Amino acid sequence: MVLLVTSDNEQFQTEKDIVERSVLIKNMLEDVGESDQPIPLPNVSSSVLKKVTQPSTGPTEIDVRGRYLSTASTTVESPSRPPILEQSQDETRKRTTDISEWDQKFITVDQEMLFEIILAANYLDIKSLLCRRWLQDGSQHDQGARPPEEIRKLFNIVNDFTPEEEAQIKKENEWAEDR
Amino acid sequence: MSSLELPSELWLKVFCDLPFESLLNIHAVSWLFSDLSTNFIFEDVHFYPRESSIARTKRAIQREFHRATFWSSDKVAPHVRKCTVELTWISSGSMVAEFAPQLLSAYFEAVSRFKNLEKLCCSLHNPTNIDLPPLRVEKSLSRLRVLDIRGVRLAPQTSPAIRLKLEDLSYADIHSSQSIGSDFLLSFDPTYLRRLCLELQSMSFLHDLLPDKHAMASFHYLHVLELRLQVTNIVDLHACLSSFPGIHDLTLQVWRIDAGFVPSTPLAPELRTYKGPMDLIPALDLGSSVLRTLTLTDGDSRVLLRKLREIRLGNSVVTAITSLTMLVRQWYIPETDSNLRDTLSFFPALQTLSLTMYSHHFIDQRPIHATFPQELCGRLAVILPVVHED
Repeated sequence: MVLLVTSDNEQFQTEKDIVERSVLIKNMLEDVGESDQPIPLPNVSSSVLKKVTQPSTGPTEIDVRGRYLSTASTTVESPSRPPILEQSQDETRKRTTDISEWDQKFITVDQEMLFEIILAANYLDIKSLLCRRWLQDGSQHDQGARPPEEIRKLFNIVNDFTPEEEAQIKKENEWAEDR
Repeated sequence: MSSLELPSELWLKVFCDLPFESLLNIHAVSWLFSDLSTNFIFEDVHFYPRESSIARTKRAIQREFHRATFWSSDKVAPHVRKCTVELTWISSGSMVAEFAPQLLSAYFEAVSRFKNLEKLCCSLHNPTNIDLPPLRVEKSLSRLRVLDIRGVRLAPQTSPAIRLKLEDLSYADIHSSQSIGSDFLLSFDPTYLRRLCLELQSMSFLHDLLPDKHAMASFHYLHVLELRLQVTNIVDLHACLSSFPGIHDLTLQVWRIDAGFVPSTPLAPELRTYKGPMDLIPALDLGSSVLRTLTLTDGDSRVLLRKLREIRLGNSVVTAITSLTMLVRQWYIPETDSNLRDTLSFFPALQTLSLTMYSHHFIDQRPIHATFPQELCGRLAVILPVVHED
């Protein structure tokens, strides 16, 4: 077990193999060697660290695959580990579950927490956490890439293109696609 | 908090591994996301006449000119870091053949505007010998590090002061038997070039390199050399390689090496890895303490054994080589036993042995060696010392 101390001075006893998904903590542990010394994380608050490291009993609001509009059954990783630390596609342990409840929880993630998680993931150097899948997966099961409109909703982004600019971007995308 | 409050670098980290399809959607989200994603979207371009049903029509060719214009634009061109230009199978009388020179010029013109280009691959297959423009790599491409050209003439630099900072150059002139010119090497900055791969039809291309030995000797960091030749001899190869002082890794593909005088000084004294025919073995310094990997692309254990016995090794064994790859002719398997054992006794430090069995014999269209590996494995188990771990 490893003792982590957050910016608001809360202490967390966490399993070593879980915290080592963070390259930052892994390197710190290698530097200090076998030691009971707590590891300070001055850039991570306790509420964020909880999301990042706490083993959950079911899908949590930060275990988002971004399918928040979907009500179909889909495959998610086993919830026995903190889903946020999962290596996504590489993991073979999977189970099937109804994701509608989980979707609802996801919608409740407030913008601030979402960005704090991204910032923490960057600081802790946890690649799988950088919300790629939120941008990658479309709303419909197996639909492919998430459309621009959904990305705007997800991150509360205003569409600042004029219709002409939007048409221009569409044209650029056509050339880029046929590169 | 809005997305504008997350630093751009962080968004770039998020975007960098996304699949291309997702990136296109990111590009269409907002100005910020559009700007941040352009580097990824326009990173890589492939110019070639598309093989669709309309590929041979004038309209399709016209679209290729539009494509070149689009990628040349000020908004897009600076983002391109990798580019491939391909014009293959230009059959005579076809639409592509009719427009090939202009099309290639348009592609090359676009390339010249990719000022952040790092890697360029050009491949032409021009059996009808239409006169095509050469590739000019000028100072606008100061970031170009990898150049891989096949069937394309590289135009000489207009200014001798401009030297391309290439780290990796592959130059295969598969159609022309013209010489590469004695000033070929002068186009490249010697402090950058790490790998050089040359394939030329010209019989005398090693001689083309030789006149400027001073230029060759300045390529201290050229560690990897691959040569594909028709015919050569040990003296020419020796003269060529001895001028490149830093060669660690040599790969040689040659149709024939003419026998002849073997120079007394070893070929490429810093050599760590050799891959090529056995004919060069007498010229290699097998007793060298740095030569570790030997990959032989012809002969078999019998021939190798004969070569090893012919050359006089200092300590009578090859002490440094840890990895050996060679061919085994299935036809000689009954004899493999003693030949292989005697051959391997020359390599006491060997850690890796790879054997490739080959045969030109077929029965009912099937290679007969298919049944032999087992036999060989059985023999190897007897030949090779078995290490027991307690």
